[in-house]
Amino acid sequence: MANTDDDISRWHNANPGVFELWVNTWQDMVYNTALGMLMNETDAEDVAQDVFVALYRNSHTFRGEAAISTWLYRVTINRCTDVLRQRKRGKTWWGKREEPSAGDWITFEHPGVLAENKDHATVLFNALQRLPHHQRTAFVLNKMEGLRVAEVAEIMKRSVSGVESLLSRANQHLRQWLKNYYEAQVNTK
Amino acid sequence: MKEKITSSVEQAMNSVDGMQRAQAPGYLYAKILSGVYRRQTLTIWERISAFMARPVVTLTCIAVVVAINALIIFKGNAVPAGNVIASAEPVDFYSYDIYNAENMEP
Repeated sequence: MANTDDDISRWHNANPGVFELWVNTWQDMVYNTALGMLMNETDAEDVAQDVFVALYRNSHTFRGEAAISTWLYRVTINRCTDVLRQRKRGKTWWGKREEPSAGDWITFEHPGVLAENKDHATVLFNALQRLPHHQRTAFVLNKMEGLRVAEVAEIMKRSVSGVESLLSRANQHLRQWLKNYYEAQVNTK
Repeated sequence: MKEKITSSVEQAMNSVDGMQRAQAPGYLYAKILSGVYRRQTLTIWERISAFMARPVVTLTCIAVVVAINALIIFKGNAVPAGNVIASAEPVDFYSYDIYNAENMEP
């Protein structure tokens, strides 16, 4: 379907308030996913803005709300991938970026983590940012968004067994990194 | 010591269990609308420059220019064999009349 400005305006004029309802329904889902992937509030807000602007421009093409949530997850993950790629490059043509690269220690605290778990969660997030991209995506969707493996598989366009394998490897890598980290902490005391 | 490390690893792994979803900031909807409005009010030149600023587009343009240059250079160097033999004969530049080249004796 052609994505012309006329089509978009016509749809929004014919369906007043629907876009605002969609934003209210899915903004926490998109923001939380982006926050889990990027571990930075400002970047997560920017990604959420981009995702909903894309939704605004594609509103007239959707048939059913189930398709929208899957689509939103996919676009969010893609946008986060772009941001992570930019961070990995580290520098832009006009100078050095201030964001941390994948190897830096981050002091991110997720607002949804229970107070008694915050210290351990910060260590886990540092381990998480060192995971390969697909493993990180599967972990965030499954653990932080609470999606079932089948739902994660649909979003990532993979088989259920493929996602199970990703989650298993993610857990293995995280445990190994955490073990090394805590051993180093004990040895330095 | 080992038990303490194992316990810490387990605590870290379980630290995100039962976590709540982070709530989007209250101003997000206004920010989204500003993004929609900005997208709608882009002039044609802003859209073109945004398109041209994409790395993929820039790299493709550079690749095309390099390919055209390479094609011109290689085509220019590929001289037919007959021409090479003919040019092996010494040319008397002083007797060469540029205005009457067709009537020159071989």
